Amino acid sequence: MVVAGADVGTECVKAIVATGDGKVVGRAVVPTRGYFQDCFQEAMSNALGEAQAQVSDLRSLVVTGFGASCAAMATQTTTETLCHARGAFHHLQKPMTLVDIGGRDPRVVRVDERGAVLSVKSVRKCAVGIGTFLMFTSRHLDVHPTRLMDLATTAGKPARVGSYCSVFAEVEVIELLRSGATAGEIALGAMYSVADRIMEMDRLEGPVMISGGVCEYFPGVVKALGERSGCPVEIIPEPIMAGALGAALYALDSARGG
Amino acid sequence: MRIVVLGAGALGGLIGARLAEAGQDVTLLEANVARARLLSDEGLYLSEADKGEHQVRLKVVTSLDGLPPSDLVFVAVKSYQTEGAVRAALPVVGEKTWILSTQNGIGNVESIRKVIDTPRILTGITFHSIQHTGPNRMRYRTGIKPIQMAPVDGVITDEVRAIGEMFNAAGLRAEVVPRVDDVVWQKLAHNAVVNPVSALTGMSCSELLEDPDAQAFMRALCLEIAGVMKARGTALEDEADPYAPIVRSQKALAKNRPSMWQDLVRGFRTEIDAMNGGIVDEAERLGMKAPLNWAIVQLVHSRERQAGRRLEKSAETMAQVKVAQGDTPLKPLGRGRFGGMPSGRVPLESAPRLKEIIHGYYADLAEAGRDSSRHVAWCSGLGPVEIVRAMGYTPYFPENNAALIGASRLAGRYISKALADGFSPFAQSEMTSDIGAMLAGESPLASIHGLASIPRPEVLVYSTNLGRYISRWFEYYANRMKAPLLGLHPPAGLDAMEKIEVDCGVQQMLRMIGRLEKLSDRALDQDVLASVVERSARAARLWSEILDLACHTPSPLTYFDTLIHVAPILLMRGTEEAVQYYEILLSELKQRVAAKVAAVPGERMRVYWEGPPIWCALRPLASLFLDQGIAVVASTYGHNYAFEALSPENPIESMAHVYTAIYENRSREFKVRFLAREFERYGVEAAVFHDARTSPEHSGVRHGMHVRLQRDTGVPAIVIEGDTHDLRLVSIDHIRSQLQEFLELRRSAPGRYNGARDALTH
Repeated sequence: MVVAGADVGTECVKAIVATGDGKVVGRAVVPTRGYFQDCFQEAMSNALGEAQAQVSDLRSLVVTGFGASCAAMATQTTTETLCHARGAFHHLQKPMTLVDIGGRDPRVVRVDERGAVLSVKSVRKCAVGIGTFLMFTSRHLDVHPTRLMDLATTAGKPARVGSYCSVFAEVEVIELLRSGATAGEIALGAMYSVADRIMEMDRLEGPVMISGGVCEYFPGVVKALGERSGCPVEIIPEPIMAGALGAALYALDSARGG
Repeated sequence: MRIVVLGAGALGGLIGARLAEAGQDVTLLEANVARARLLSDEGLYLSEADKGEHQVRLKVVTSLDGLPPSDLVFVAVKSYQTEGAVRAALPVVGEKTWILSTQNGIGNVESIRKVIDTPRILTGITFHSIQHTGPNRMRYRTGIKPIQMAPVDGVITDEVRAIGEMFNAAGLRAEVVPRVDDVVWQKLAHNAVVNPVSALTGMSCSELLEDPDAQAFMRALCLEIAGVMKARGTALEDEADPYAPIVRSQKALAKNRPSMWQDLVRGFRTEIDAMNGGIVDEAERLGMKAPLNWAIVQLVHSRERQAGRRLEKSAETMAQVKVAQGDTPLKPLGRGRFGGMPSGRVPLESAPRLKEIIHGYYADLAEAGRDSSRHVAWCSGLGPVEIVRAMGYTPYFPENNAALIGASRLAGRYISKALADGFSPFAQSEMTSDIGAMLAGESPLASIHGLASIPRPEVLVYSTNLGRYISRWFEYYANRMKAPLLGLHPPAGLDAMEKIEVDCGVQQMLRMIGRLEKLSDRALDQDVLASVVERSARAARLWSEILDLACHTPSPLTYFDTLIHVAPILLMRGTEEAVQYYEILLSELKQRVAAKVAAVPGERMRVYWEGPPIWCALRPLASLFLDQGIAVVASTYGHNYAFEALSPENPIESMAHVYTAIYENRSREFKVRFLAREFERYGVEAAVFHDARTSPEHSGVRHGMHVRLQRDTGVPAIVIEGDTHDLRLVSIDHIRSQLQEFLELRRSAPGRYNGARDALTH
């Protein structure tokens, strides 16, 4: 018997297939381009392929994320907060302040010693898109997003990037370049801007754990967050899969009759 | 075992359902034919604490004739119905049948014995707290103590033990004990002290705790009962301070009101005779007097009679409306996904009447536009409409037009016209929608009410009590139409209302009257003003009573209903039609309360709405809340029209007071205090704060008010970012996930979101 959890995000779809005794046997990450349904199907088939299982073997499928409603075959949909908290707690088994930085909606989640969510604070609707914001910045600096981090490490200090709004990013990048900032300083500045944004959401108290895709591709954000908050900040194992893992664990509960 | 449950109310329904689920042969006897049929067809929807709901199918009958004898008859009717119910149960009472009563009060065994003299009677006491959320839906919490049951002769036989085991096997923790007399009297002491006092004063338990007179009385009442208990040799819960445990139970009940209050409000009989009446009887038997208890019984009986009379009167009013409207065929209501109950709102019968009178208002306005001998004034919604009417003007309200534009989803088209004329996209979309429509020469009033064009104003009259932007809106029109503009600018941001501020309001109004008289060449007749104000006051009082009905669980109306039914007091404040309409609406809603008809079927959460309405997305928003079983029971918007202080004896001063005192015009401290009280009064579990992008003056949440309230009251905030009219600034999808997230967290972390809200089955 296998179960699956999927996190249909704005930048990527993540899928995890696990066996009945909780062992992860299949993983997939597929960029979200165009139709959510197609990307979801692709991620599921990749993960099932790795697990050498069929859709018909699935006892339960829990889907979370922005595009969760696109997954017609889901047994259940659950919020991102619960899934990320569950996924992170599964790794750590201790109370924490979890900061999920994904493509669209960053959130600060406090989790207690039993893994229960104590509070969740998210950013106000406007100026969302933290991961998206970094993708925009890469495009305007004319580098592939995977190279943005390399670019940032060439800089000694960050440029002051004020806007967090993806739409204003373009104008700001042009203005900064014109005033003499290097691409590296702007790249680094963008990451500090993201960290500042997170600090506006909630007070951070250590230990601070990070999940979501941004920390994997842009570790500069994690370093900036540590500096700005003065707290010890760590990345959880497989941060981008946290939501999908949590969803898979909920699927396991459901299959076991919980 | 074969079990017959007498009465399919809260307790009977719960016990019957749980025993049936455990595989016992259960039949419920219900006297009310409609209820019996509903339960028979659809069963009962039960949910325990915050867990999900499940459906239990039941065998419900209106007569036990022809049925075989049962092993157990569970008496779950009100004490005053015991005799009748047991008589109806005679067909199923055989030689071996046990009768179990866990009813409130005392004297129930005697009532049973009047009908059938059997030794096989068990008495007991339950500790469940059960709350109706619809005619066949209930939420319950298992009692802190197990059900206690004892045979009246004190001898525990195998048969008796078997009954106890059956309850336990069904998940209903139960203990068979030799005596329950002490426990029954101890529970009675709580009920007999708290219930009637709360019912008579209308105060919730937390309010009673803060009232020294109530506490003094209740202590005396308790000590009188303790005296009777001591005389009959019954142990007190606390020998040293008999009143102390009762203080504790008031604290535990907190903002709730015991069922006796609900019974009185609904016009039902109470169980006072079995409670305080039983104490008076017992005292007499012992040769003692219980004067305080006796007084309580008399007073509650009077209130019962009064409530019953009111219910009859409202039924009469409704019958008259029905006759006037003729019989409309019943429309079949669709099945909803939220259990078997119809998911659509049960439409209010008064709705056609509302359409009629609003249409009448607009027809009259059109006439005023055509008739050169009549005068039209454009007014702001909470402006001094009474003066405008008394001076012979027919008022038109741009804000109402704006609301209709929003609700008809036309704002997008019109806002761009206003932007082209120089307005910013961040200007109040309420204003830019209306101005844009004017620039386009269009209005939804044309298609909805046949108003070909909006009559031009002879004068524009506004008050900045709802926000300073109103003056810019009206200035724009005054300028464009070359019409005189008169405004009231009451002092703003007030905490307490002091005489200086009211005087300022009075002076401004007198000045306005002077100017209107000069403009119109007519004098203001003080008597006419007084009668207009008198009608306004009546309408406002009725509106206030209507809003208060939402305090009931389940609520008979929601915020979305009030946005529709506010129209008469907005447009027709000061007319007799508005008063008449609200009398009809109030009657209908009172009947809903009596019949426990929920505006949101399966109401599982109650919230408050602070901030302006999202006019442009009302329908999807309403569906969203309805689908999740969330009842938005009250709002700051609705409350604005619930004036308390309008007085025809003192029209101008009372108007100055009322129009300056509205919520939006007050200080943050006042708002926090006000909201804290409202949260308590309506028993809400969360508060929605709407941060309207283009409406900063109405979005108090921008200054962190919600955080302060959460800290002070423990009521969590849900901040919704949206706008009143500009759909580009509203994401229903986002709001849906916010609500879902809130509900999920509430379900998974019950400790945090646990309010002691259930009505205990006292």
